[in-house]
Amino acid sequence: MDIVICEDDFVQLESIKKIIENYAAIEDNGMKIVLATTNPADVAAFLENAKADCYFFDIDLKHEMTGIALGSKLREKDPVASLVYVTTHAEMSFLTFIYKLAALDFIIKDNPDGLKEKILSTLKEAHRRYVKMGEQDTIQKLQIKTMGHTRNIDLQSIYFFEASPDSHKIILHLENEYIEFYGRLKNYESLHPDFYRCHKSFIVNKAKVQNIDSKNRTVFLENGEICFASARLIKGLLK
Amino acid sequence: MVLTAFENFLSFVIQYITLLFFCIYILDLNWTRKHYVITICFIFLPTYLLFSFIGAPSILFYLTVLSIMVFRQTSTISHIFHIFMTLIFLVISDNLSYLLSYRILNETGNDHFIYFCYCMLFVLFAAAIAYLYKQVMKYIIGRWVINGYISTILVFLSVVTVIVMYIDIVAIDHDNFYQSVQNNLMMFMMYLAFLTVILFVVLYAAFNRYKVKQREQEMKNFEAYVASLEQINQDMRRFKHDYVNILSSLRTFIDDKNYDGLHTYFYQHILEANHQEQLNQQAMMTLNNLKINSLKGLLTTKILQAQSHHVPFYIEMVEEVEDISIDPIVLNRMVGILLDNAIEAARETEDGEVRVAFIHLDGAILLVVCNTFNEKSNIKVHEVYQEGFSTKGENRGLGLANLLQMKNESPNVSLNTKISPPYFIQEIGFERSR
Repeated sequence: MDIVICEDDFVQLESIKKIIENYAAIEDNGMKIVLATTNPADVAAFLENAKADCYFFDIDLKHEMTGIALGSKLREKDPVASLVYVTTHAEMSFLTFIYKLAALDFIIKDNPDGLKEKILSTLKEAHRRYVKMGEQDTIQKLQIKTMGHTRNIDLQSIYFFEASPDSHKIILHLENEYIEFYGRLKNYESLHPDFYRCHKSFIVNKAKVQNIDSKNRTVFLENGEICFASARLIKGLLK
Repeated sequence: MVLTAFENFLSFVIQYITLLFFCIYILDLNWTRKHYVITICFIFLPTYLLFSFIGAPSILFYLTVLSIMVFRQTSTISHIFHIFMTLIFLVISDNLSYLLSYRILNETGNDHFIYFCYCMLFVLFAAAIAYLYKQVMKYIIGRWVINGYISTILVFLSVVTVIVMYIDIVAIDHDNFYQSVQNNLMMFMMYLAFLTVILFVVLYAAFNRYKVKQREQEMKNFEAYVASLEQINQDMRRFKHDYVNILSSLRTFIDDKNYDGLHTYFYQHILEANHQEQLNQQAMMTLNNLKINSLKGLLTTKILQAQSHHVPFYIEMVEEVEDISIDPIVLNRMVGILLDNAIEAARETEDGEVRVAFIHLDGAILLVVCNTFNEKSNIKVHEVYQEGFSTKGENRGLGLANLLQMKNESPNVSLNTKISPPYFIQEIGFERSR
């Protein structure tokens, strides 16, 4: 996993670099820093013809290009790499950047004691995502657009699709999340052999079904949620 | 018309079943087989027996028991109103279908054929009225808010109507049956027209009252906003005055080279004292980017509310928020529910916090409300949305149900919910009208 760091304060740059290098040496899992600089222009030049997997940026870089601008530039080239902000002003607009730039995390450097710990936990998360991305060829994804941004969802993390009471919309039920988007159930029936239209308003992932109460036509899922099946279609689930 | 005993019995069955399905349809009841068995044993049979003693008014027993059953299941007073309205509509379709089949088919002279047509027409009318009634109710509930005391008035009106109607029915002159059915229908239609007018007046008045109250609340919120700006102004002035004093006290520590003392003084007295205050000032300042006044007032109130519970409240509004394409009253109610829940949940944890962000994303405005919650509860998203859910016991979990209802009625609003410890995250997206 290739890492890029951009931090205007030389001392802090060195300290972050050291934390990461030490960790990489202990874990020996192929993490390496390919660029560590105080100048965002170096990163911009790097992005022109190269690519890393994880980026640590400060927001205020004492340069005409802020960490935010650098982040947008990165996102134009590479929408999936992990992006982490190391900053003193996180509380100003923490959520905004997570949503706008799909930032992985914010590390607040006001608190030097927690810095190392936080960098390491973020690094682990970035590495986990990196490894997962390598397996991506075998993982099928569903791409949906919700509230102005695009999301890729593992088909196997889907519990069921529910037609929203307000037609034209579908509510996607995951382990512990509801996502709503525009669409028609009909178009998602044959996405995967495990997906089964068990009711006018539900498509269930058969792999997540725990139990079926055929008397009340209720389907119990692994996360404790329930959905319903119609009298005619429940047979397909019982097989 | 002379009917056989079997046809008489069939009439009861048809009427009872139609009444039941009418109610189930308009109330969207989710009935299991158990409910039907109970209905047959404890409503159909006793009503039928009662009929041989007291005649038509036995249906009142039916309605009463059904109302109790439904009320126990759903705890919604207005459902009783709908049940009584159902009977009124069924009596109308009964009279209508009787008149029609009798008038058109009397020449055929075949009583059984007339009876058959009457039954068909009755069910048809009932189905048509049920459909229309449901549509009208959907429209009204979607636009007007019907609260507790109006429901009570409505129930009262409908019960009185049914009683009046039955006095009317009992008074039927059996020697001149056809004529009295006609009079009956006429009189009843008039009564119904009168009732409709009263209903609309009551609902309209209630709706206006609600609007005025909403306005008042908005004004209050806005006043709170202005007052808090003044407070900030005052604080600034005080701070200007104070900081000279603070600097000189720092100087004494420096002159004495008492760095430990300086450290303690700085972190404990200066930083701590200002942190909470600064935070809320920051939040207030962010509101400058919000150009929707009613919402500004609401957010101010919530910031102050969070402050009084010592819950840090962060608001992000990097870009200006000018218009959100939804009725401002609905918007305020939705945001109010989200923030109330967030503050409530954050209070229950030690380092509780609430983060709110308004974000422009490709043609949509996204409102993210993010709060810490009691992780020990190990709560799941679908549990949160069960009606009546609340971590604070019964009767407090209606907020989210209302939120869902409002969302369902606004086509360009979507709601995502996610639990990813330590945060409970709700995203509500307002798309530009599609």
